[in-house]
Amino acid sequence: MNGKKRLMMGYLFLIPAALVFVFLIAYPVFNTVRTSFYASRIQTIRDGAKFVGLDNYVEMFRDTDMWTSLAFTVKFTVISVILETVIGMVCALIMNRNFRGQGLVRAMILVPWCIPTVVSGLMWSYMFAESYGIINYLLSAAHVIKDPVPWITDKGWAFAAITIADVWKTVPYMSLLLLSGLKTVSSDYLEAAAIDGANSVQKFFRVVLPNMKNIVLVAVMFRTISSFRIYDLIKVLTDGGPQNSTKSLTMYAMENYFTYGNLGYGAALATLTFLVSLLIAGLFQDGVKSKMEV
Amino acid sequence: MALCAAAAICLAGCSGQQEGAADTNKKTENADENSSAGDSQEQQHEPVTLHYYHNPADGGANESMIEMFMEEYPWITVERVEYPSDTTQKKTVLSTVFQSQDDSIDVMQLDCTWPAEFTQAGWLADLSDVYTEEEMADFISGIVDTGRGSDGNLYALPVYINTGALLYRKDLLEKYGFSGPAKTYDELIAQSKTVMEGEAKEGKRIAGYTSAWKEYEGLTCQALGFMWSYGAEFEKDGICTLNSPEAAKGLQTMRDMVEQGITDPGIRGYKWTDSQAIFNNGGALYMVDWPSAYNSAVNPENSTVSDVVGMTVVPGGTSAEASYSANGGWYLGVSAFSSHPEEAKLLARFATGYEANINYALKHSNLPARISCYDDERIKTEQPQMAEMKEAAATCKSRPASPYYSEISAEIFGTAAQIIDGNVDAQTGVSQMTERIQDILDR
Amino acid sequence: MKKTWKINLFTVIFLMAILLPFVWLVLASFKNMKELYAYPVQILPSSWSIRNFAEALREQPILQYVKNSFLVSGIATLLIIVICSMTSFSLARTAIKGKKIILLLILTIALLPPVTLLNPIYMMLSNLNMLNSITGLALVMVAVELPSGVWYLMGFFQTIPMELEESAMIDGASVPQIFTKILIPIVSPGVFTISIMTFINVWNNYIFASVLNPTKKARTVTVALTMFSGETYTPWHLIAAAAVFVSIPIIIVVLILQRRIISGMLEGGVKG
Repeated sequence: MNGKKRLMMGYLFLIPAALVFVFLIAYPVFNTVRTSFYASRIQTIRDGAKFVGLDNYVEMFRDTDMWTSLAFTVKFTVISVILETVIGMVCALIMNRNFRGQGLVRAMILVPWCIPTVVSGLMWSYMFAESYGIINYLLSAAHVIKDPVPWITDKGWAFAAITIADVWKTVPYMSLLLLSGLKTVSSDYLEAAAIDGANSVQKFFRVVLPNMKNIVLVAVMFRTISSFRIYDLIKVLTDGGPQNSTKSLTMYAMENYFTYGNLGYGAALATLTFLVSLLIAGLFQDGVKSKMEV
Repeated sequence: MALCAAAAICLAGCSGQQEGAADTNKKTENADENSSAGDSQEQQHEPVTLHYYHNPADGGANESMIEMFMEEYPWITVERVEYPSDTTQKKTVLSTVFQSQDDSIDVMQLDCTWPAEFTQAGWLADLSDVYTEEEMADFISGIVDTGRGSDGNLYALPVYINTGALLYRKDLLEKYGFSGPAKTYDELIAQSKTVMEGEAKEGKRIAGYTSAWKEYEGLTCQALGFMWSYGAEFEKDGICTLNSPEAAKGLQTMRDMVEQGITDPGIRGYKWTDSQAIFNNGGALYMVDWPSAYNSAVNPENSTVSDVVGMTVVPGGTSAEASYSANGGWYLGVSAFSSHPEEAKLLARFATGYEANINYALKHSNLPARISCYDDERIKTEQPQMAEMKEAAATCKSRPASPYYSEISAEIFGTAAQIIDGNVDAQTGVSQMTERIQDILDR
Repeated sequence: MKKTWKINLFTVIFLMAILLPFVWLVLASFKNMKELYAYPVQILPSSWSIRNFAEALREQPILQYVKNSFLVSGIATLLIIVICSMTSFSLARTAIKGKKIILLLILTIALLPPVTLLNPIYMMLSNLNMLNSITGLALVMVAVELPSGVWYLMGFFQTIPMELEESAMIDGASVPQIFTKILIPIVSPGVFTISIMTFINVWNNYIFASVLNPTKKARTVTVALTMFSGETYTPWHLIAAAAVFVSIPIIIVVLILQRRIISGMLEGGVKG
């Protein structure tokens, strides 16, 4: 009796999410993927779209700009997520400790997240400016550099600039997630470990981390996927330059779709982004699998 | 919290004025010959609401223009909708709305590179009947064709133009004994060298030239300007003619300026604001920007050199007369899906009329698109430097009008960037660029 | 004790690095254009007048936009809390079929770049006359934030042992009662976490807000912040002032909510 009722509730409770999914996701996605099989452009929109099968995808694989974008996006995602996770973990550990003013410290760590990306992009571009930027000023005042660093105009430095700006913004998000994971590690485990004579570093890696595994994996997975789709920050900070070296895949897709008006090709690029993200999720299988086996 | 209180008080005082703009009470003044004579207008016309999309941060120019319009046409209410600031984002908004073919936009401002594409897509209404041929003659001839479709009809009307200007430091030119600003690039390079060396001896760091050479649309405008100044033309009869020694010379000059240290070191990362920051802080002898930069440069709030700035036309290449600049102006279009096309065309006519041009000039320093405006007394008194730009305005050139302009532009600024950075030599660069542009033109 | 000293020093330096951009932003909001771009760099503004704030608020009805943003974020957050907890419960604690597929489908939402959704969603809202509306944008934001909420809460739901529910059922509680009176309180730290996440992510959203709500009536403040710039000039002093003005309520909201998370965690921690 209760079993059946429970099952009924289970299905009923899925309805809201299902509605959202069908109307706001399934139809738009279907539309976009369908467009990617057509040679559809704004300039020729009156002539109607011609079905071209996989032509857009073939062109995509021959497009060196696409590979440049993809390579940059992958490199950026890997590096920034690693940095965010490590620094986020450090922050979570700090926020976990009890001391006076901990509320204020926690709020301060969360500040970067409260600033909209469009503003923080402008802010960082202002800070990274070669001549009037505060970063170069502080670095040279501390005698770390002699000549001003060309943050925006040099390929390598532009990459660093974007990574710094992105990590700054997302560390709060990661640390919040990781903190909640830390809290769920029962103090019983920690006590048991202390009795066994483990010091804090050992405690961390052998007791805390494994118990947080699920949360960490989910957080990292979502951050990875988010990072892979970065657009707003890059647009404002470097606008894809110098020489397209910091043009993310999403930015390239948006460019083709909206600026060039190439709807079919833009849709194909968007679908590619989607497929690669799926691959990434697949790579997190181990952590994900344990959720699948519910 | 004190900030919030102060801000709230300011807002409360001003919000009524701002929010009320679109809901201005209709006045019963009689308008011009456009309205039917005889019966009062409210009886003859059903109230209509138009949505007008325009640029933000315009110094109140659009607000006052619409107020004047609604006075003249009391039965039409215009709701102004500002675009986001970023050009890509503006195009995204328009593209999304037009693809859905809904009627949420009636009249909109268009960047000069959009009419060709939007006309081809069938998104703009035919505006051929808004002005007579005679009336069209008042517009600066070089820029009208940008608004024409391939069928020769007009789909976009010019609102204002923007042509490059050369800002310079009067005090430095005087100090080093130059009689006036450079008329050609050769002169500019020579003057810059003298000034830079001289200032360096006094321990001051200054660049000869600054502008916006970041890899985006702005660089295309600059590159075209240089190439035109050395005699290159974009195309002739559908063939791209940039594969020429003249075009190569134009881009080579840009490279030379960097190599010889004339340009500010960060120039390849600057958009307009960054370049203005350099010049306004005394960091450069010359700056090429739009004329609106002049107002900022002479404002003591913005600039440390506010009392020693002059403005003139951009230098010429082969000769002082060969001074060309790409038009950065804006146009007005009517949506093909508007549910009020007649009223929309009334707004189109008004927004591109003589008074509207003067209004944009006075409120936001936009160069008029109508040649007769330059002789207006108000311009001469309140914006005298604008009256001086009349000749430059008359010879302003349009960027290539192609529905695929964005991709062509990407080829141009991409190649210019490569040449300026020294990654490829000018002749090879323009040759490859021309080939790829030709592919696009042949579509 | 030595260790604590080192940790504290590290914490201080670390916090300074995190706050530097924000401090710089606040300083910028008091400067004028000349001081902002001065070379060599001028650290402090010459005067602490609030004229930038006044001008920014005069130029755009920022307070109205803040209100809009609050409404959109608030409605989206409430809907997310309800829908995500229901969905996570269903997936984590009931025996429905096809869970793998459902999870995968929900994940696909998170994998999509916004460009795939922009056009079709706009057309749909346009047909429903829900453009330029608070609810329309909020609903779209719910769809965008759904996956991470579901996945995250599932982790919490899964850690609750079944014995808790069984003993409640023996006491005569019905499943809905168990859901609301027992499970939700236990996962409340998770609920608060996703509510902060959703609130801020929706607040910061730019692309959907700018296309779906272009008119003043329903414009969000994040979009408005970009409208201080003209085509060729960026009045950074005004943007900074507006951004600071707008960030302060957000920081307060976060401060309040995060306190509740922590206290919720201490109370409702899952013990063995």
